[in-house]
Amino acid sequence: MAEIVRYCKGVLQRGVKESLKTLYYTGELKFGDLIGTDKVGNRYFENKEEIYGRHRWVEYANRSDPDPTTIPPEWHSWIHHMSDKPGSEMLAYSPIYKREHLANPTGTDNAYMPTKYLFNIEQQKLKEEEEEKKH
Amino acid sequence: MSMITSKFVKGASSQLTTPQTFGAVCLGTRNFHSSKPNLHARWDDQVDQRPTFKKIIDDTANTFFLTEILNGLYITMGFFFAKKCTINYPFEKGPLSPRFRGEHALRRYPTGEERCIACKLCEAICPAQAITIEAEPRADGSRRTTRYDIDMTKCIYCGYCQEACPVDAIVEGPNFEFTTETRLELLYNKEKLLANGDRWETEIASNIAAEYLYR
Repeated sequence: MAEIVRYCKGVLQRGVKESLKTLYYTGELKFGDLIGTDKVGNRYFENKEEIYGRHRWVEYANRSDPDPTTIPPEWHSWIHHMSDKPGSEMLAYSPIYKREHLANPTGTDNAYMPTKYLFNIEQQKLKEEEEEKKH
Repeated sequence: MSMITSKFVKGASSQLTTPQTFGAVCLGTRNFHSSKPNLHARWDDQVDQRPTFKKIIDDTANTFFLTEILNGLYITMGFFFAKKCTINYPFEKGPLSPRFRGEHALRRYPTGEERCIACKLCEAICPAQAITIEAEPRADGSRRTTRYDIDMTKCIYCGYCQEACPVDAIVEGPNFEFTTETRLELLYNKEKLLANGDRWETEIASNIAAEYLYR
């Protein structure tokens, strides 16, 4: 019964079209307070009436490809129930040398690759030769 | 031997009434239990009692009206409408401790100077021998690493490195979503570790602040 009431409230909060989309992409229709939004556009919600441990959730900016690594460190501890501080309060801890958060780049051109490692050595030799030619 | 076998075969029918003898023959020469094994408590104890008329009617009605199936369906229905407690990852995420040991990171001082002084304690304590360090004095005379590699495929995430570190340089951050498509990408070098530190310092610092009473 609780589930039916929850779904009705979810539809009331979002409207029919939006709720159908949410149901399709997340398999669940929840409602709650918007706690904040991060730089990428992920939205963070909380509803303390939900069952404990499921009361915080994200709605990703990219709906069709939800990637949890897009969650920046300032929101990471909130979404993992590590602290009750939302992202805006966590920013106080960020250092001066802070770098922009990067979603897991594996499989893309940005992917990390150790330098001077096996087949990288040949690529590096080619690069060095090219640079020498320029000089 | 043949005597024992014949005794056992014979005993199966006649010696059931004397549990100690039966147990001894069956299990060998010794009985390990201090209390006597109760061989009389059997599931078919009551089987020879005549069913009463009431029992016959009850059993027939239960079968005829599918009572047990309906009982089962009722429970199914209840759980269908109950609140689900399974976490819907990646939209909801499980609780983590501030002491969680995930992906490694090399930290810096608030000025931006790297902390690691190449004491190699982490390299020495690492039970999986995943850490490799080479060091040289820097131009300004301070001792720094020229190479700091962690083989994340060897690492067992025991956290000894961060416990050994005298300057809090190497830490295991809260990130556990660093899966890669190739094995190569898991061989972290110093550059990658420092970059991790720069990206995650916000949360690492807050976790250390939360735990300062216990360290």
